[in-house]
Amino acid sequence: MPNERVTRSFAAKLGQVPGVLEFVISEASSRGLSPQRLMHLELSVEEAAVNTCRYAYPQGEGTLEVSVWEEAGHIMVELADAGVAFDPLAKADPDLDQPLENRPVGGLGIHLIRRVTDGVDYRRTGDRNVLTLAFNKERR
Amino acid sequence: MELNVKQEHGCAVVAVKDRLDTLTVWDFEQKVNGLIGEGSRRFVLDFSGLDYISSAGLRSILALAKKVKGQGGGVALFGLKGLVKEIFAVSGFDTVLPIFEDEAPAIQSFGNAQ
Repeated sequence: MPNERVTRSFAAKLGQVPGVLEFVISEASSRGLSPQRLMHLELSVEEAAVNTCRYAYPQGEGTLEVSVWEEAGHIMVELADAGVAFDPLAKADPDLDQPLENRPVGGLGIHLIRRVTDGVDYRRTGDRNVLTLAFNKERR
Repeated sequence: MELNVKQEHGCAVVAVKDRLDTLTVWDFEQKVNGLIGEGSRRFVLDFSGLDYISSAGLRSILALAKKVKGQGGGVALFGLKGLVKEIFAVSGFDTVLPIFEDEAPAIQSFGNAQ
């Protein structure tokens, strides 16, 4: 039933990212997210999942737990890992007024996540990083 | 991702199809670095067949632009649509990189052809 929360575990490796995307797209689609928003979802989950795969487990292997559910007219996606404490939202937004030469490269992924989602939340609970993305089903 | 390259009036016109994301960006960089090695400095990116771009893709285009600008070249893009067009606007990249509707004005933007 689309009303329940589904969770799947993935190895936190870049090669697993397509599987993560396929999972969230399928679950969000069956819960009624529009094709346009599905692309926003894909983009933001890619950014977040790649960050985890790159930085969460410097000592080697670990898992990324991905959950999808519906809540108050929003499709919610949660990405959780047991890696090193890392708040992706702590990076400052890139300065968009800078000319090409001065444009810094960092912060772009987070900026995109903020713009294409209807809410981003990060919390560190116990020894886990938990990032939650919200997508308003009404927004196109 | 599919890449097709043609030389046109002194520009390397690179058509990028499908996705430019974390997993495909390496091939794109290999291709353009190879073209730079062969002497290309003016790049026209044909995005008319591109459906999806993530920050990894944006970063690689920015890196290309910075590299060739310092050597008298540049990067122009055309054919952006859908999510790709939206992402360029949202990221502000549409204000630092010249974007055109079609190939001809993109090539002409480099001035006198070689």
